[in-house]
Amino acid sequence: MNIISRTFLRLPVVLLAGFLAGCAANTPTQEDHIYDPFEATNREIHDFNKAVDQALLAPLSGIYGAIIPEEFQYFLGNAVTNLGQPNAFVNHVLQGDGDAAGDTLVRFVLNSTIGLAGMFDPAAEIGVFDQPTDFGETLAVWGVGEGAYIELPLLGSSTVRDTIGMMVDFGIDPLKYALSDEQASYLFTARVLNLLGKRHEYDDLIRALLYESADSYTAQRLSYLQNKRHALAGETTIDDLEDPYALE
Amino acid sequence: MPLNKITRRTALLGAAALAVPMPAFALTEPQARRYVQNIIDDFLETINSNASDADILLRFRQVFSSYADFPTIARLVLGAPWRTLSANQKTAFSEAFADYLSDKYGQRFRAYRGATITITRSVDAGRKGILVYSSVARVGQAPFDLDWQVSDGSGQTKMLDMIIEGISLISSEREEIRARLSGNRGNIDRLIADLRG
Repeated sequence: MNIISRTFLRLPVVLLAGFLAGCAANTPTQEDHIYDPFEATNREIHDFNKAVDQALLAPLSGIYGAIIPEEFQYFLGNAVTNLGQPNAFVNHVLQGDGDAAGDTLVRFVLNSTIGLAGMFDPAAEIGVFDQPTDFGETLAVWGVGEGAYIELPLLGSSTVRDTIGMMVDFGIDPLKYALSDEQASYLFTARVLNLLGKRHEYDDLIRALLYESADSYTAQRLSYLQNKRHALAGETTIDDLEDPYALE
Repeated sequence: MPLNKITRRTALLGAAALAVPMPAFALTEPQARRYVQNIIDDFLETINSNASDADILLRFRQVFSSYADFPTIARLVLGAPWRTLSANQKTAFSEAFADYLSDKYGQRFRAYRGATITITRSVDAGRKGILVYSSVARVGQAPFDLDWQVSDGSGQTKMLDMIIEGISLISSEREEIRARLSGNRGNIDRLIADLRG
């Protein structure tokens, strides 16, 4: 369910601003450590996002899945991932993770050349796998707390830390300085198409979460936060576990 | 920390003297891993069988019921309101919840057909039981983490939680049950009827 964060809730880089004013305090208190002081606003945005999914994203992704050959979907997915490597490289370096930075560089060089502009993934064939990261994770490595949960219009679930991270990524992505405006617009289109592909691929899970939960807002919030924390920690920790006999 | 030691020993002696029943956490990591391996084997056999959909769901319900500690999971999921329930309501809620959960996850896990699930390691989580890590691999897709919380705190070795890529079954169902309870205006009998669908 990686899925959820990677695709629907953490849509790639588009910009967003203004919403962060006044996000200060940083003490998770409730059960499952959820800190959501903006719940009322978040819920309104959630309803909007859900309406967009229902009216646009779900039907368009159905069409995309039906008419676009799977090979093309696969090539596009690889190419989009490949063009995310420069930004991942910068962040791995900022996190002081030389191994991951090295792997990411090797991937980008191999896949951009032998992999025909990233359509294929020869690096994975030799065991050098994608290690996605972003500036939100860099902030986490630097010790910045998660902050309040926020749901962003069109972009979905986030936290204060991840929203700041997303804005910084927008500025530090080396690709931004390497591409012409025209190329950048192609990349944006490719990302949007790839997003439709992901929405199609994980249709069952997204449907269950958004349309079969008694409260899709809390279901999405929990899935995002737990999945994100797991991704940052790299594993489930003892702290994450329920203490089953604490209540008795 | 001599003070700590003394306090702890005194407490233990006191408990022993009064014959206060204390949960015996005797489960070892190898035992917990074997237990999870049994769950995985039964589970994969079920979803990979050629039986009809209805039979597979029925079998899944049996597998789930024999391994999961439903009374404890039901109590954790309901939270504070659990204590206000009569004994009959507790039983009814646990049973309705068990059926609801088995059906829901049975449907969802049909997608794991053909997957391989490999236990990778475990860690002793003290009074929380044993945490067993496994990885689910499917052809052509990135593997994902499936972790298990196993405990014998109820007197029998049982599964408490399944955690998929960090998302805990107990946490998710707590959200769901809480939302349904408030949808039913806090009425537990209506919640039970709702779960029985």
